[in-house]
Amino acid sequence: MLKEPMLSWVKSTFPADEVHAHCDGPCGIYDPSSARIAAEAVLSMTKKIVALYEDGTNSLAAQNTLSRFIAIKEEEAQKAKDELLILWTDYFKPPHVEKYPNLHDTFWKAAKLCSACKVEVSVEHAEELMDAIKNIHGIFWATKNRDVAWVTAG
Amino acid sequence: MGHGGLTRHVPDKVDELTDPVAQVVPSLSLAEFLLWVARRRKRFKVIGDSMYPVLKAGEELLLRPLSRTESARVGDIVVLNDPRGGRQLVKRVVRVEADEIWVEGDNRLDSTDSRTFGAVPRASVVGRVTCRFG
Repeated sequence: MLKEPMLSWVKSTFPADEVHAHCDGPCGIYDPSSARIAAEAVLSMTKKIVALYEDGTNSLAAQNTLSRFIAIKEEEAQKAKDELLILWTDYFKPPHVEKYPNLHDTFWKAAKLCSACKVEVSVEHAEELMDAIKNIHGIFWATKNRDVAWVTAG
Repeated sequence: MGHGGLTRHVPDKVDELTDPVAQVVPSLSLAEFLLWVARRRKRFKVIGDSMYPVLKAGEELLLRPLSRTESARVGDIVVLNDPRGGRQLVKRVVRVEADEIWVEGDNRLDSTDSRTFGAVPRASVVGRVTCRFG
């Protein structure tokens, strides 16, 4: 068929004017790194809670530290969940779901992991959450045709 | 199915817009291609997802400019001048009133349209989409 190559030649040689099937987003700035930072804090706090428990938590000072670690872990787990939900419901669009059919399941499971990390003291779940966010990082930057390396602060 | 393509089929109520047949934008025919060569059609490239899934971002379309006496009809996909200036939009005509038309994106969750900027003057419609350029 000659039609296809001819049309692509026309398209590349004579660029068409643009028409906008557009939507005014509020800012359009999204980045999975904010979820990653919160999840890293969750993993770090979870490890610290386990270490503190193994050292003994009888003293008042240790009890105080334990309470603070737990409070931070819960707060950061909630933050990770909020950030993931923003990406899921605001950034990702139907064409992305078409391309990544597991997208909804991926986000649903990652959000559940945030809840598990908030409720439990589980290094395993915190590490699974990091893996889930790493996976989302890959999908997110692939939708923007950008190759962005996965880096962690910890 | 007795419906023709977009160019012949005119839905008479908005409900019918959910009918996939009414949403079809035909692919390029030889006749449309020759009309484009003869400059009776304009070519446009779609940016954005507000007309998804009927029009996908990056896709190209042919447009038949409307004459002065002609009006867009309910169900048409039209190109119009953004009432807020600057660019041109592609949207579907949902209502036609005396001097104005109401346009919306098919992908209502991801569209800025008459729900935001109100009805637009009929004169702001540049033309009707006749087919895909491809």
